[in-house]
Formats: sequence, C-alpha cells, structure tokens
Amino acid sequence: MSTTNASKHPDSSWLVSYSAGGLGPSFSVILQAHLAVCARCRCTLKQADVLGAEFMFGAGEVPVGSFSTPPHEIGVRADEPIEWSRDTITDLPQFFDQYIGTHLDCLNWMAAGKGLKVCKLSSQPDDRLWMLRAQPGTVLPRHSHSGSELTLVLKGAYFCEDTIYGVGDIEDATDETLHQPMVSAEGECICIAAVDGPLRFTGLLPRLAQRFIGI
Amino acid sequence: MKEVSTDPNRAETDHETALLLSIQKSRNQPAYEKLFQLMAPKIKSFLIHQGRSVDEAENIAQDAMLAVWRKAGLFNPDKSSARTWVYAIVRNRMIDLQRRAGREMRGKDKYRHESGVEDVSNGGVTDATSRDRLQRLLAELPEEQATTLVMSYVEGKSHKEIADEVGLPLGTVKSRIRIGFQRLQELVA
Repeated sequence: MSTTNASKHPDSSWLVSYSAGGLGPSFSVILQAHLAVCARCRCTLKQADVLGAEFMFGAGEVPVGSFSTPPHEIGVRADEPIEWSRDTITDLPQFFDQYIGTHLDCLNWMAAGKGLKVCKLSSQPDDRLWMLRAQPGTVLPRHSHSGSELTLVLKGAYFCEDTIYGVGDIEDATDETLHQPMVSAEGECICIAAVDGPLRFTGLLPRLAQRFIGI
Repeated sequence: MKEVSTDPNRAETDHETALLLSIQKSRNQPAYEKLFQLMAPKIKSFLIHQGRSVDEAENIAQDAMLAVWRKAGLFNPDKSSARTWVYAIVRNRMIDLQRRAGREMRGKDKYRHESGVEDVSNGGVTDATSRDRLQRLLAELPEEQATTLVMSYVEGKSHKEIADEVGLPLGTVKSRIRIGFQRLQELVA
C-alpha cells in the first residue's frame, strides 16, 4: 500500500458503532484497516471513545469477583491496542498479515464476470466479507443493496459517478445507494467489502450469476 | 447551547488518571487495586447491558483490568483521560472476542433470554455523579438522537438492527447517530 492520506471516509456513525462494539467482524475489519491508514478517522474514533467512556462509567455498577494482585513479572507489552495512538500503516503485506491472515494468491478466487474475480472471506447472514480483484477498466454491474456496504480500496482505484476511490479510501453505501463502480484504466484494483445483506443487481446476467456466487 | 457542568465528574476522572499514572510510574499495587475497585464494576455493568452473560462480563472486565496493569506504561495523559483509554481497551477486547467467536444475538434481548433480568444497574451500586452527568448530556439531545445513541452504546446494536427495530431507513439511523454524536462531542470536550 503505497499510501496514504485517505480522502474518502466512513460516516462518523460507523465509528460510533465501532467504538460501541456493535459491529460484526466484517465491518470491524474494514474499519480497523481504514483506521490504520487514516489519522482523521482515528481522531473521530477517539471522540467516539470519549463518549463511550461516558456511557460505560455512567451506567451503573455490578460487583465483580475477587481482586487479585497482579504478579510483578507481568510487565508492559510492546504492542499498542488503542487505534488512535497508533502510527499509520503504509504497507500492503503488513495489512494482509494483520487483517486477512493469508496472501492474495492463496485465496479461493471465483470468476464473477469479465475482468472481475471475487473471494468470499466470511458469509454470516448479516455480516459478509468479500475480496474483489478487477482488471484495469473493468465496469462492475450496476447494483444497489439490501443494507449497508463498506468498501475499502487496497490497491489501485475505481470511480463511482464523479468520485474516485483510491488506496485507503472507503466507499460508504446504504440501502438507498445505486451505483456502478468502474476500475481505473491505470492498473488492477483490489478491494475488500463488507455487506449486511445481498446485493441487488439491476441486470439479468448479474442476477443469474449471483445465484452461483452468492454475493 | 447550554453548558454541562463538568466539575464533579472532572474530579473523578482526574483521580482515576492520577492512579493510572502512579501505576505507570512505580507499578503501585495499592493504586491499581483502587483503580480496579473504581472501574471494574462499571465495566462489568456496561458489558452486561450490552448483552454479555454475567460470567463473560466478569471475565472481560478482569481481563481488561489486567491489560491496564500490563500496558500502563503506554498510557499518555496528553492524549486521553484514563477512562477513555480503559474504554478503548475494553472495546478492543469485545471486538477481538467477537471476531473469534461471533455473536448470535446482541443487546439486551440476549440478556433477557438468558437471565430474565431487565436492568442489573438498578440492583447494583450506582455512581450518581457519572450517571447524572450522562443523563444531563442525553437530555441535551432530541429524543430520537438520544435513543439511537443509547441503542448503539448501551445495547451494542448495529445500524441495521436499530433500523429494523425503529422501522426507519438506514440513512436516517446513521444521520441521527452522526448528529447526536456531533452535539455530544461539543458537550464532553
């Protein structure tokens, strides 16, 4: 990922839900990956955490079990768990190691139309994660959604209407969005997308293909 | 916009931050025990509200407080209060657990199914200062914005779950959360 200052961001309501722990694993991983490259959203997340702390410390108390003194040998670990305290990740292999756990070429790609391959990474009914790999200039089928969709660009770029999404950017679509992404002619585009329901294609062929692919 | 007084709450948060800094500086075990007593019952209560079982909430609260001890050296008071830092640790624990195990049901519904208990905070010790402050903050919002934020933070519901429950489009739910969040940001700053 030769990146990046992401310029397209998720709606702040996503960072509120992320902060509240209310998202499924697919949406969480998209946001975690974007947060790794986006200082602006890390700042928004911190504000959401400030508010989350108000809720956590203002809701009440339930007695906990026994307190045990921590042993001295447990010291500070090197890793930093707080997103807004992290530096920006700028390396694609590091991203795959951390969030996907495998190499691109090891994924089970399925052809999904001219110039387009997809790979299903997770398929819970309301929490689906897909990887998409498209050749330069590929035009994806026009579609809407039955719920939310967050798409993160990992490599290359694509256009939607008059907006271009590059590495690290997120496209934030809802059930009211109808779009037809077009991959930049300059190189292949790899994206990861989380959806909470099936896509709705306007064309017959994509609808038929959907029965086999399940996207 | 009205200002919400932060003084009593500020004293609490400053005390917690001082305890955390004492742990950071000298591995001060009495300070850690005091911080544990202040925070762990609230973390557990919050997690139960979010739909965790009592045992799971206990385990996460204990685990998060152990992480506080282990990672105290990484706390930076210039970046956040102790509360915000600990909240982020708890949240990351929740996300890690969710990724590993998945959750079939979220929010209070699950808790109702499992235990029949509606609201454990009524039976526990309440922190009047923090609770009153939270109620004053929420009172600054229109009801629909406060409701979506409570459904997000307290019940741990996704946008879709909220939209399904209140019968509104996803975009409306997101804008209510966004606007409510923006207004509360100004108040808690």
